[in-house]
Amino acid sequence: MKIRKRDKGSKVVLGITLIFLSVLIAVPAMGGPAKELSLLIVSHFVPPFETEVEAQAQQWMKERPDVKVTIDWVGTEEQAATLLAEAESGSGHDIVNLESFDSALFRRSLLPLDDVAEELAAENGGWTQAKREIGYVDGRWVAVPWFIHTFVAVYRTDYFQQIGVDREMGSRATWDDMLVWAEKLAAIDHPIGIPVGSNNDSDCSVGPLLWSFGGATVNREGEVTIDSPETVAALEYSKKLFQYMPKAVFGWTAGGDNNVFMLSGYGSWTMNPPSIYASALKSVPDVAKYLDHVRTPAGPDGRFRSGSVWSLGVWNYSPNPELAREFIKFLMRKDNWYAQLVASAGYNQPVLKDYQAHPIWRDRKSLNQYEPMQETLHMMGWKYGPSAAGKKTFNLHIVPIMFAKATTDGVQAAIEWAETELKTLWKEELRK
Amino acid sequence: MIGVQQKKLAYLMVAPVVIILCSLIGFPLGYAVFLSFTVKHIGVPPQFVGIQNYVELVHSSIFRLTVLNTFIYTFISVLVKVILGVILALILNRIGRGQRALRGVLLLPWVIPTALSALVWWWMYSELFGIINWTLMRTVVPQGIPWLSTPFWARCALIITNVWRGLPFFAITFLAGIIAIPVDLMDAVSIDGAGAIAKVRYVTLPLLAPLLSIVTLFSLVMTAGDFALVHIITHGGPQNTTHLFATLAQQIGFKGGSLGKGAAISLFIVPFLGVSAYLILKFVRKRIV
Amino acid sequence: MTKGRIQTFLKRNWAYFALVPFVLFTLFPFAWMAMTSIETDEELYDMSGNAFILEKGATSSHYLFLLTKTLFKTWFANSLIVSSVVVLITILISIPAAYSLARIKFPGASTIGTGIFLTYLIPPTLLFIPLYTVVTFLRTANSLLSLIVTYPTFTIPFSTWLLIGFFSNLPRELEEAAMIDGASWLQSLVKIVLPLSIPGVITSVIFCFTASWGHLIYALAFVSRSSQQTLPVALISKLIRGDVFFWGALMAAGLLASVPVVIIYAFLLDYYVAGLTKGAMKF
Repeated sequence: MKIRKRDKGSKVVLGITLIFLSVLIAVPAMGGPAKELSLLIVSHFVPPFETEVEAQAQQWMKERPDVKVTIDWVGTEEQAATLLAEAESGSGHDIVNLESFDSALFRRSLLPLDDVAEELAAENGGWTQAKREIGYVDGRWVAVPWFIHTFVAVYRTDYFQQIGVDREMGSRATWDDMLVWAEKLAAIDHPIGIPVGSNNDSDCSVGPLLWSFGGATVNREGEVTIDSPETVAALEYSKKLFQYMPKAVFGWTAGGDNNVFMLSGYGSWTMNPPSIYASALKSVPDVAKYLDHVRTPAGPDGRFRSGSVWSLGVWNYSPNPELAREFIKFLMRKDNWYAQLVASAGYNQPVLKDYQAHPIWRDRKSLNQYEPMQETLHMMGWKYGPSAAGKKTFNLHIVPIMFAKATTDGVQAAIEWAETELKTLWKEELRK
Repeated sequence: MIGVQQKKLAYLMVAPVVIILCSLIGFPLGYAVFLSFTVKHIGVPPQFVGIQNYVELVHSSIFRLTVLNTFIYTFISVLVKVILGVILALILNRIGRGQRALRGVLLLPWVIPTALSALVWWWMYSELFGIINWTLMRTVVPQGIPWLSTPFWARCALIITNVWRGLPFFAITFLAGIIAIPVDLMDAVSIDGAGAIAKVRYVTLPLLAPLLSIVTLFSLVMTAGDFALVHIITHGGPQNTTHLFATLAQQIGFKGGSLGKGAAISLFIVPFLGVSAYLILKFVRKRIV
Repeated sequence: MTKGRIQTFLKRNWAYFALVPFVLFTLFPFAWMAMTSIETDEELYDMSGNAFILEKGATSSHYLFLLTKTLFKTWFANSLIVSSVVVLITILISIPAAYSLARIKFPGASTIGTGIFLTYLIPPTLLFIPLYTVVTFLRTANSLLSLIVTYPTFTIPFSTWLLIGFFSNLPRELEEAAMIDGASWLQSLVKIVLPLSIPGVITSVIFCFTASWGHLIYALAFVSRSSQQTLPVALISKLIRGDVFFWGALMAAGLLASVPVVIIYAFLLDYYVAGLTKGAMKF
């Protein structure tokens, strides 16, 4: 009798185990619809842009009723984790949205899109200067640049007026001018603020400062060249400039800090894409009416800009490469790209020369120096091309930390530190 | 009294756990260990390089700083949580009316997803606009505190937030421990004329010791492996002085594409975990058997 | 009041006063969240006035935005589903396992116990890349199922270990008596041991629910479809756009996201304390 009962118990447990295992096995057997094109796109700081792209996808589906397009919009953190997980497991979406040197990082998992890129360039007057920075890796187009967001000088017209600087002067500014103005602005308690912390904004802000003095992390061959008289000059200069900024800039992190700095009406100048302006229009119109954008300041070696180039890539294991190519071309088509531009309120900058003709930037005075860009555009990792080491230099915020170290540990110590770290990163790159 | 049938049944009942853990943790963990001995870039097979990743890490200044950061962060956070946790538990134990409500309220920080509470703290720590400095500048510290821009204060900020999040768990667990101490034991000590502090020192704390050490070791492991707090509040800054293993591994391995090195950074914590585990197990075994 | 009465009053109620700093420390961030969630955007960025006073009045716009313009309700439901199912799976699997490991000294029992414990110590930051391969193999990527499959990796070890502590702490005599009366071993688990271990089970439920509710890393890497996301990930993805933070909505969401768990706690807390008393104390 006892044994029988025990048997019953075993059966129950066995049953539960079997059910669980069969669920595990049965789930993979369930298949999805036949032709599905899926996209992973990073969410846009102007939400109507997403609505427009969704609408365009619907329109495309009308032309191609056999295909279902799904778009997943994700945050930047999520994009990084998802791309890695997908590339390593050879699964996931068909088209992925890549940020700047992601193209280099994932080049071995991306489908060459030379035909798409060359066709687009031939039809639309060629690429703007964004081209050589992105997508074109090891002699192949591994991603098609879509649009760019760059860091321009964001300033308060009223505060600058108080110290006697108008838009014309502001747009011709050199870093030496900035030094003089920064002191005056600090005196009226509306200081300037450049992020010099562990975040992406910092790289996009101090990178152009370093380059405009002639410094660079590496040369064209990928040899570390940070220890140079030009870097010393940039750091010596920054020590003078930074004393007029709030100390908080060294702790600015998640990217929202310099936005609040300007939105609060406290700060008078920072470097950022027009996202601050977009927020101000929505939340604090009293601040928005005094915000304007001009070119970044020039140094002895010129005027530079940095930012994010957003491109579209296709995983080389995607089951729908032809559909993906077609849809990318569709999104890049002039009428569609223009509609996206308008939805983005003018913040998407073009990568194709002909698209620079859109009137939106001329019509909106505050954006007429944002685009067309008059500065030289580069990404952290220049003067080498797109590279994983460049991406790591950016992720680890080596350059902003060097600038911060220069103020605490001295210029030489900062350069030595940066050189050691950079050499480790570039050694890995050249191993290939 | 345990027959063959029961042994079979026992294996059967343990089997699901073993199967799930082996397939979902065993394989990934083994793979991660393997990766740490390779150079692995995204989309290509790994190349075996022996202990090269570990050697390079030991020579990296950022990594050495990370080891120091992790030690400071973990040690101080856990210490403060234990001390404040015991004090809070002792106080709570003295509260009759409203204890249930207060327990609930005090548990809130543990309940809210860390990703969201970390954002609130980041917003409050903001040096120019945060409510903490706003209050301090109008009261006791006119120049404000450089919360996130100096290494010392950035570490303080993270430790404070970690304590805030972890204290409820410590206090409530200790409270449970204190409640479990037999009342007659306390009464006997009272009759002997022991004062309140002496009671805590000679009765409560010794009886609480087992629970204290378990919670402490669990917390050491969890704190050393922390990610979300640091990632959101400081991003490892200023000047890398708050990076922990998990955040550095994320920056180098996951976002930088050096999967081998990322795995090596994550695994560096294993000896630390191993020692903790050994201590816990040694302690716990004694209790179970 | 005389001096003596004041002294008696203080003596009787000192604990309440001593608790004040702790309660302030605990609740301040929540109060700040509540305030930010009803603050107008304009005032949020206006640092000139008194930070503690809503000079421009309160607004419900952030809550409305969250509830009508986002998928908040879906995300909430997703989190609830994932956490509940994970808790269910965890409990169903860990109870029999823990009982066997605690009660039967079969060969390998202690090795398995140690193994289960060690897995608890492995940080999830390490595992998500290879785990994604498993998730893809099971064809669960980009769905709630991927989380339901992977979350047990951190809930089961904890739960099993906690329950081992509980079961081994119960007097064997009760089960032995039941078995002599003809009950099977499994019946004695269900009828005798479980009722006595309810606090332990509830403790385990609460831990697993909280851990699943707030988990970020797997959810971040495995699910990118908005309609399938859980709260923490969806909020971060949709309410932080590049460097633009939707502060009011984020704070409102933070409060709304902790409410259900707090309610569960309010009901279960008595068991929770009792549970820990029996389990953790006598591990």
